[in-house]
Amino acid sequence: MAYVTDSDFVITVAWWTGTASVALVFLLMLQILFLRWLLIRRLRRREHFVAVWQPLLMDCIEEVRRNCRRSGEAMRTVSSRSGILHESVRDEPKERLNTLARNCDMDAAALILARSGNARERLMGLSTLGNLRDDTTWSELVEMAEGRDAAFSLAAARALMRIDARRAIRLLMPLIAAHEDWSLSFIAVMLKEAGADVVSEPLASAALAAAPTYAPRLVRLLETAHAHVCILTVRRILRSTNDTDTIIAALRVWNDPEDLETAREFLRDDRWQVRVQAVQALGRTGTEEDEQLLLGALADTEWWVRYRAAQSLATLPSVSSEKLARFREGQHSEYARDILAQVIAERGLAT
Amino acid sequence: MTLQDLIVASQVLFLLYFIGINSGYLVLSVAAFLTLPRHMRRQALHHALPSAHTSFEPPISLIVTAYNEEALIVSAVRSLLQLDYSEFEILVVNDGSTDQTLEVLKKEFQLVPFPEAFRLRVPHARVAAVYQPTLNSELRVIDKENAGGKADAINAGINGARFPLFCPLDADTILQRDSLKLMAQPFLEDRRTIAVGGTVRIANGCEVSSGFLTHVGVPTNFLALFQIIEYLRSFLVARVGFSAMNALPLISGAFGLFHKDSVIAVGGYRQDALGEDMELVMRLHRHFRLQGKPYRIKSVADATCWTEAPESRRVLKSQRVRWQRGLMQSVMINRELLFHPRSGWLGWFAIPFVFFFEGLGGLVEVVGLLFIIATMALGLISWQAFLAFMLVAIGLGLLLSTTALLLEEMTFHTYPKTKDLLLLFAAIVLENLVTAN
Repeated sequence: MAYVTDSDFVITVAWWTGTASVALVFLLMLQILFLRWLLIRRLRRREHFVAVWQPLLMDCIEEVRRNCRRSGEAMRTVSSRSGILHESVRDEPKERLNTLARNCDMDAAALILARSGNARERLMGLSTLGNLRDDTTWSELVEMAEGRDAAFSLAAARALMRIDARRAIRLLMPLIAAHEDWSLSFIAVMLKEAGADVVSEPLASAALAAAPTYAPRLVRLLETAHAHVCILTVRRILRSTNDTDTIIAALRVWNDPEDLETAREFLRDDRWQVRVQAVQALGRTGTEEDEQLLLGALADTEWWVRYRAAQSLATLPSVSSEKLARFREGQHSEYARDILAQVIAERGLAT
Repeated sequence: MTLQDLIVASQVLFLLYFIGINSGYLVLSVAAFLTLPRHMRRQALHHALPSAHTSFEPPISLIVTAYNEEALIVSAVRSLLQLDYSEFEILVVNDGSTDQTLEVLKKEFQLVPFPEAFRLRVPHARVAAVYQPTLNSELRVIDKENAGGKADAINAGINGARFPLFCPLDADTILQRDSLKLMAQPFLEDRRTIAVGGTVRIANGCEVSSGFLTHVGVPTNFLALFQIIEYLRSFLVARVGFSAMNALPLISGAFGLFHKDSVIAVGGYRQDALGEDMELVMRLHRHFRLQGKPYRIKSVADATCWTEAPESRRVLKSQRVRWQRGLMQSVMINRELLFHPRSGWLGWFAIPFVFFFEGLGGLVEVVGLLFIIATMALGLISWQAFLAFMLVAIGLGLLLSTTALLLEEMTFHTYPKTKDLLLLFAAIVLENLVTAN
């Protein structure tokens, strides 16, 4: 029997694998150095262009400049810098920035980047298209928003919202509900930017019509809507659903002093997660009548319900520090006394 | 069986081992190359947003375990208080320190006893007292008896934590200001997420000021330099690769973020585990996978923390022995996952991979080396074969480490000087030559 490692075939394979690996290592190292060279070059160019363009852009907030030279790198830098400025200015200065950008043909260049740049360039292009508020790219942006990649689709959605929020919101609502990979905090920022006037009605309709799978996401976003729309929608949702996640989401945004009975009913729910939200809701809007209910919740089997009930009790306008101390003395349950002692101490430290 | 049969069988085993480990790393490298750029693209989108906090970020409890940390604890807490995140609390668990840890905290933050209604949801040693500063409600200190392990201290922190996510930390861990924001992102994007691991980097050679890293550099100590390469391989290739398969077997104890109720559901940290961090993650996998519950455990490569690596062989050896034993014990405790029909990539690839190639790797390599020396001495294998196998071993080792360095340069550019990059490449070559010999 021959030794495996002395077989000609195995040795030949080993030689070739080893040689190929070492050759690949040198190629990878060259690539690393090339990437580093590109990075240094990019940083130098950026510094140079920032030095030239930053004063121009700052001036532009005051007055529009008409002449500008365009190159790929300049476009990217200007796009990035004006994007940062866009986030911090409003109204006229913003319009002047856009005029400067159009004078530089940045709209066409941004579309090219959004279509075929690398990942960072595509995002920058989409952001610039949104900032420029040019609706000639609308249909293309809609197509991008419907794409599968979460980052690009969300960036396209934001661009649409910035171009025409009223038109975009109805189009985007099903996508917001279905795209679990679209971050809720990002969407909330986007909706807040658009404003409650634009967002409230479509969001409320979508939340009411949504299937249980999608409803919690939309309900949580209701806090970006007008308070009265939010109240009416949440009221209807709480009366019509038994889905735990939807109820929790609805009670989180619940702020309805005219319908306290609903929150009080949920205090008797079997699900402790629901009871926690119910005691918190009562803490936000409850009255003196709720003191006894909240005192009852201090003996709940779940710590979180007890803790939130004690906090809610402490925030009721009818409960003073002295009254809270008297409540503690009057408790028979050790759990209730302990949790009230903790909340009294928290309150004492906070004041 | 003759001696020749035995040698042939051993050769086949070593060859299979060699092919297995390199194929495994190849699979992980491909997965990392497919995943990391996509992740960075998503992050670029978040960087493009105005950085205002919304009410959607889940609040986080930072659990800092401290045993005899009087020198570090105040600066550690001060730097944590400056983290960029919407809502978090810091729970320092003084694990029965015999030095002045509690006293310096009391003095510095004007702590007063706090009547915490402590819940016992996971087991731990007796809590003597809870303290809170008179001015800052974001900080609490749990003073407990020492039960001989970090797991016990973290369990006390879990019971005291008020928020749905918790992040266990060591007092000497340096976080980047935005790291919590990055770590919380998967919890916002995917409701099934139950745990997230960040990237641990080596702080040796870097400059630190007021508890934050101010300048990235590379150390002059060779052991620390080798560990930079090792951590790059581990965090940018292996963990990103495993994470892509939802088969991440380990979240480093230095920096992870966990869904508290999920950890409580599996009983919290095990006090008798040698590698409590790895054991917990494997138990979470076991619980959720075998019960068919949907879940995700992810690695977030750009959420970074920095830690000092050992620079002496003695300390490094004791650390590695502890890790090795912890790994083997964690696999043994959770062996039900191994090749279980429901365990997917985790039971069929990740755990066997870490068990056979990382857990037993050291032993196999030593035996392999002795075997080669013996067979060479007896003239049983040729010089030509020996050289060919050395070349392939070194070549593939270099390739894996250089791939990690390329991923680093493609994504983070952590090391700002080109000289540092060349030094790291030199360390890759040297590390491979040293380990190959």
